[in-house]
Amino acid sequence: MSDKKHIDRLFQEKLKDFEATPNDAIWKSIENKLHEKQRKRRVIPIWWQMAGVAAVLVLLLTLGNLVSNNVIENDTTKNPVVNTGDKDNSIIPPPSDSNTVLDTFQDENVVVEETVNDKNLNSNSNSVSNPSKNSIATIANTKTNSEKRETQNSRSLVNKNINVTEQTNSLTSNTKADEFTTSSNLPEPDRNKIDKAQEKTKSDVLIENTKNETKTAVTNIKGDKENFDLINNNSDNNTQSLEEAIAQANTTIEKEEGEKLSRWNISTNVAPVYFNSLGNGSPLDEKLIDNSKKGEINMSYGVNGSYAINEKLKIRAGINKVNLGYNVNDVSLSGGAGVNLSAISKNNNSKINNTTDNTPSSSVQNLSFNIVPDLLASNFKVTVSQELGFIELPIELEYSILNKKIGLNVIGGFSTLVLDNNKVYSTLNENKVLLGEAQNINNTSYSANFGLGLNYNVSEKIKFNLEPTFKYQINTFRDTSGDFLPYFIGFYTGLSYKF
Amino acid sequence: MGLEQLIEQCKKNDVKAQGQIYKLFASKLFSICLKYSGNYAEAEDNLQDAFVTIFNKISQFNYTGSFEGWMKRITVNTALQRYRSVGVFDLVNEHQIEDETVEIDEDAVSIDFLLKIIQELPNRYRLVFNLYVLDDYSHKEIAEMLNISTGTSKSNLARARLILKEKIEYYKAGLNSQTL
Repeated sequence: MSDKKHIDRLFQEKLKDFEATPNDAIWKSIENKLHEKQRKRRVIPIWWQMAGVAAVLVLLLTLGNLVSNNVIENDTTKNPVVNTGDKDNSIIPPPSDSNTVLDTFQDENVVVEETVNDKNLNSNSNSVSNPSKNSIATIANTKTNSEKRETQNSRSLVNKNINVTEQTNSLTSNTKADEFTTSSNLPEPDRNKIDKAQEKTKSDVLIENTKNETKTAVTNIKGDKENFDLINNNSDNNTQSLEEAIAQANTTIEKEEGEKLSRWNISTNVAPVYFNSLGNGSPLDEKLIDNSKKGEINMSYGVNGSYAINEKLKIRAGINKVNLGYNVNDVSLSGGAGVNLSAISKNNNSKINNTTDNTPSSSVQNLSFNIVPDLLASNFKVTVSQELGFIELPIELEYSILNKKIGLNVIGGFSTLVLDNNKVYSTLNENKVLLGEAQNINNTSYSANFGLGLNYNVSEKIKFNLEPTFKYQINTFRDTSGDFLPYFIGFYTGLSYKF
Repeated sequence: MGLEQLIEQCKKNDVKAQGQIYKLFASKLFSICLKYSGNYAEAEDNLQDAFVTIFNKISQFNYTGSFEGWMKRITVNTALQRYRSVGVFDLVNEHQIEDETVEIDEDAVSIDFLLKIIQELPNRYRLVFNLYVLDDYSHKEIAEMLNISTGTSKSNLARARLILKEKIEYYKAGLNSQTL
């Protein structure tokens, strides 16, 4: 019964229809692995939910802040921009006798009060208009969201259409496709190219066909030219992903691991930040509107972490310390142009200065008055500088345009700014004297951020980043004189680490 | 539910559909794993990895070519991936390569036996033998896939045949001595 057989034929014939049923446990572990992945994928919506919750909180805080601020302002009625006069009044008992010093003091304060009250009215109207603006913005957002969804839906519809039409078309060309895909599963490069070219031409034909058929479908769905473009893009993508699928078949596992591992990113940043205003106004006093102002360059530093939603898009959040400052030049002290300095007469200043020297415990007086004698001794013009420090909590999206050795991306988002330093100084002949705190700065404010990111891959894990970013501050000052629209520009540099 | 619908469901990460696809194709793909792997446990690992890859990449499947062919390619690649870094074997001179014929009663050898001796081959001999003899790849393609020269592929194949032939003959001798 034995016959001579080529060994190849023996194996071919015997193993031709060979099948083997694997253990049931294998499916269990596959299912587990896939589930694990799904759980990881669900992280994204949670992020978005968190972002949503944060946005709502931010909105509520803003509203709450505005309301409570207004109440306080109305109650106290006297609320000069810089606290020099106000706090003193509360400490010094109301004048019972003919204390000329304090009388003049109070009189002048009344003037300030009036202006402040006016401003309060302004801020009231602001507070009314602000929320409505916000709500409009949110409405607009939801609108655009729903629009997006619509387009996405129509996209997927179109996609399906393509799939269907492709199938019908591919019935004719499939036999051909089968031939070369099976014969050249993983061919050498030149063959690969030929195959790709074939595929492309083939898919071009397909696209031509689908175009004709989907045209009607598309016009049914929306009748937009944009959608038509979408189809083209989609079908291009399809063919691309097909090529990729074959190319990737070689490196599927490697790539997969790569993707799995490099979603998270942590980076540090240091930046010189330049603070200035778009408008001409002053947050300190309306008298200072016309003075020349110069932004200062300060530092910002912090860390942030990012999560790659997909290859192109990253969401990132972090914490930064930002110091900002600017100078108002040529503040003349004569004629009462100073920051509430007009409220202080020349005579009693020296007295108060003396007392504060003797009793350093009365720090409030110290804050407000120790500057004055120097300033008023002559008619010099001083520079008033305002320093602000914030803890910045940015939430930003990063979209990558180029991702090679050198990467390019655009960044957009917003930051919550929590005030942690607030001082006003006056400088004369390099003598820096603390004036006090500005009281019209909100404890929490926001900024809209736009940036351009450049990065250089030092190694597979480590990147060097340079991100010039423009941050437009929103709701930082409660009532400013004139248009004071603060912003800051930072050149954020740092290293980021992928893991 | 048609296969196409199942694939679409899988693209949406539907676990039930994934389970059904697994049921439909597991035994076919497992046979590939058994042939390409060194032993049963490795074959199980490869099957698992292959299916995970298949379901993760299923969105890239665009109905060009058969779904089964696509899955088979991924399965073969998963196995190749595991053994890609196998070391270099010594070359066999061309004159040693000859027509390997064996005299055997076809019914006498079981599939299990053939599978066993394939699995016992050194990794790269096994891969080359599988790709060339059982899956119709050319030496050029194999060389590309395994990152070796075509000469190495040819000599590996010759070595594989030689080893298999010896094992079958030894087995046959054993059978004959038993029956005698």
